[in-house]
Amino acid sequence: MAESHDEFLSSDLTENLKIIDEKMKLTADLKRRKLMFHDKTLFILYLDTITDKESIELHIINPINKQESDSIEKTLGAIQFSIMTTFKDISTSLAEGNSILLTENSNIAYSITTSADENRSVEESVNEKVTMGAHDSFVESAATNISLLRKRLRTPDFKVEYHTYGPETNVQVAICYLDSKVNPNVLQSIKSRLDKIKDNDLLNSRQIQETLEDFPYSPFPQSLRTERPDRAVFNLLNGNTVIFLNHEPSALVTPISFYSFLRSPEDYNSRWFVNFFYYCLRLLAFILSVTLPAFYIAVNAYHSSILPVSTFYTLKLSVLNVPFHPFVEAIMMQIVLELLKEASVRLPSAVAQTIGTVGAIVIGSAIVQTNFISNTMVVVIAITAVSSFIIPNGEMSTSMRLMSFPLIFLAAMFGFIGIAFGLMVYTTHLVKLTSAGKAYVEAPNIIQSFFSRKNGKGQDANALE
Amino acid sequence: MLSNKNLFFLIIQAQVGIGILGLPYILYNDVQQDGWMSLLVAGVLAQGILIILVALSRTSPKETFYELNHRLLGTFLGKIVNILYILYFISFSLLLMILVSDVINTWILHRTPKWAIILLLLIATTYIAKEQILTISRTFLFFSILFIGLIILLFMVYPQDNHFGRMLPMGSKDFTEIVKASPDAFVSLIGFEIILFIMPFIKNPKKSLLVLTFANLFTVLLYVFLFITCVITFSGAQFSLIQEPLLYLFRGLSFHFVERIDIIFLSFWIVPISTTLVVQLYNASLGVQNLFAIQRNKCVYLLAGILLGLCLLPVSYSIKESLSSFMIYLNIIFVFIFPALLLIIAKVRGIKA
Repeated sequence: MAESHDEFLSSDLTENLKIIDEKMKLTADLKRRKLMFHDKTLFILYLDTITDKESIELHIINPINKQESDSIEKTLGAIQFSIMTTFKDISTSLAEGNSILLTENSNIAYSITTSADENRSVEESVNEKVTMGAHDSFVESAATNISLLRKRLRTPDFKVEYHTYGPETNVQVAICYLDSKVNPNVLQSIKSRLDKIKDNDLLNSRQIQETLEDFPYSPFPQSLRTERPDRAVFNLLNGNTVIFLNHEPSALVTPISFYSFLRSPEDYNSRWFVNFFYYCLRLLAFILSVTLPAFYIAVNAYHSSILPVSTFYTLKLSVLNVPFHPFVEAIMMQIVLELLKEASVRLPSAVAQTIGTVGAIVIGSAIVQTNFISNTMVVVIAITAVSSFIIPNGEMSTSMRLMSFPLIFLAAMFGFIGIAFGLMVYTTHLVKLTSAGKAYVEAPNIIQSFFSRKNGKGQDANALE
Repeated sequence: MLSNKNLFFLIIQAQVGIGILGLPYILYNDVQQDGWMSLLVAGVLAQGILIILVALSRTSPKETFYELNHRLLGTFLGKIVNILYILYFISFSLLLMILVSDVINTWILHRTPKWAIILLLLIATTYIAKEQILTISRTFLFFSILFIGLIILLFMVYPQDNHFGRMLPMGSKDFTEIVKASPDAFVSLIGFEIILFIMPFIKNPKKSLLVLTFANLFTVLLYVFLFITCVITFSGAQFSLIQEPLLYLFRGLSFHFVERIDIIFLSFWIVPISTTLVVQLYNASLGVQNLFAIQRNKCVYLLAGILLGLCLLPVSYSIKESLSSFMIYLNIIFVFIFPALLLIIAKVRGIKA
């Protein structure tokens, strides 16, 4: 029965300590402290890298030294603890940041919550800025994030479920929803999908996103990643589910509709016509960022006859001295743009301003003066880029910009016909997509959704966020 | 399950397609300014057929047409009929693709090889046709925005040099002549036969006939509007020469910032044309699925491969004329006569049982 001997605590204190040491692989940050309690020897074990030493001092060592009560349970009364009997539980508990209290001649151990949460304080959102509305954003702790939601949703209907995934990482995943509003079938499918990642090591929220999405190979994100509590709450009220991964400063919202990616939380703080205007602007931006370069190439290379004579001459003067096919021009310019954008993201903010100057002067005017790329092409690509930057969600914005490449190619091959076929395939793809079983794109029902907003129902036909 | 809205857009997208480009020309050459009467006659004919088709599919609403054939005609005969139907849909698609590539070659891409255009067309349509019928109908709903564009463009023709007097004299032709011209118009109304294959997927089968009637009415009215617009714009001498009057209609339009609306229109009108092909592919793929019991999306790939192969044959283009006149009769046989016979068989058997 060597196994059971290994598995359960014995009454031999030194033997127990030895086995725990072995289980923790003799790690250097495992500390132990010896104490006396009513003539019995006690040992406290903890990993000093992740425990709150003050809490150990205050809640464990002080009461034990004072010897206020006879039993250990009563002495520890003020702090949360649980009783453990197996070495496996103990080592897991130690790894989570708890302290283990071992007593002489006893085959049980106390696991006391002393983990130190090194948290960033709640700050303003970096990636989803607004001018009006709340400025708080999620941090790298699921508990803090849920507290931000609870602050806004003071109802018993708000339910949180914790699950732990990953054999090595043991990451906590919190599923939050409003019990009365969520669709039970959708919730069930979300849970069963999450269970599929049981065996993989969960580290970042992309992994959750992949398992939750019906079409993980699609270029369009089918779950919304947001840093803003107000946005998460809005979705909760619409019956969607919000998922937090501990140590990730963002919430995953699912199911979600395509239109939600075109909305910013700020919209709901604006007057209805401002709201409507910006929504339409973003729809336009979506269409422009996908089709504009392709359209320009088609006009330039195939269908310049659709231009009136005056416009035609302006265009031809601009491209007269450029030695490249407009397709090559567009691809070059798009790549330059992506390079500039990526460089400015990676550089520290003080240096990043230089990229702006380099982009504007070197790329902007010099490339035109050397006749590598025509003026009009620079304008077209710039408008495309700005349109895609308008989209409030970073993931969607990048997807949109990249979606213009296949269309550019088709336009260079077949002109407008290529664009028509490309858009046909794009539409079909978008219509085909589902997010947690719900349609991703419905026929636009803009007017209805704005009326229901005015009535303060908070819910609309399209779940337009 | 298809809602009424989905069904409506599915039907109009199946009906309206390449026919719209040449229809006024064909009708005008047959019966001059009275062509709109032929259109109405064809519309009534289509409505009658619709009633027959709906009655036939209602005899067993849970089965597609192919399964119904098996049950009513026995396995052997049913199989033969199903194969004939698949061949009909394939030849219809083939003709459609040849016509599309011809139009694109003459109007937009003069030097692009036909096979490249057809390959592009087949890739796009296969991508749609392999989806569920609900997804197909929802995409068609989005594509229907183009109809609004067409109608607006047609209205823009009116402020130009038009003569309503060209509609006169009304009814100068014999009624028999008008009826004789209606099969030409009927070809452009084809597409509603998809109802035979999608009856099991309709949410509200009882209202289907009403929805189909509205869809048919929409298509017929659109054609009549188009025909009248063409007649009042072109003189008789012009009209008998131009094969694609709709495109010439738009060619005359001119704005401050854009010209040659015909090219832009035709490029994007490829989408409604492709939807007709999608519907044909869908119908045929259901038949292949019934025949060989393989997944439907694989049937679509198979059919697309066959169609591409057929288009690559040089003979395909020389048979264009004969195929298109032949197709007028095939349509009537496969969409009207045979389902009517089958309905009679079903009714007789139903009484016996």
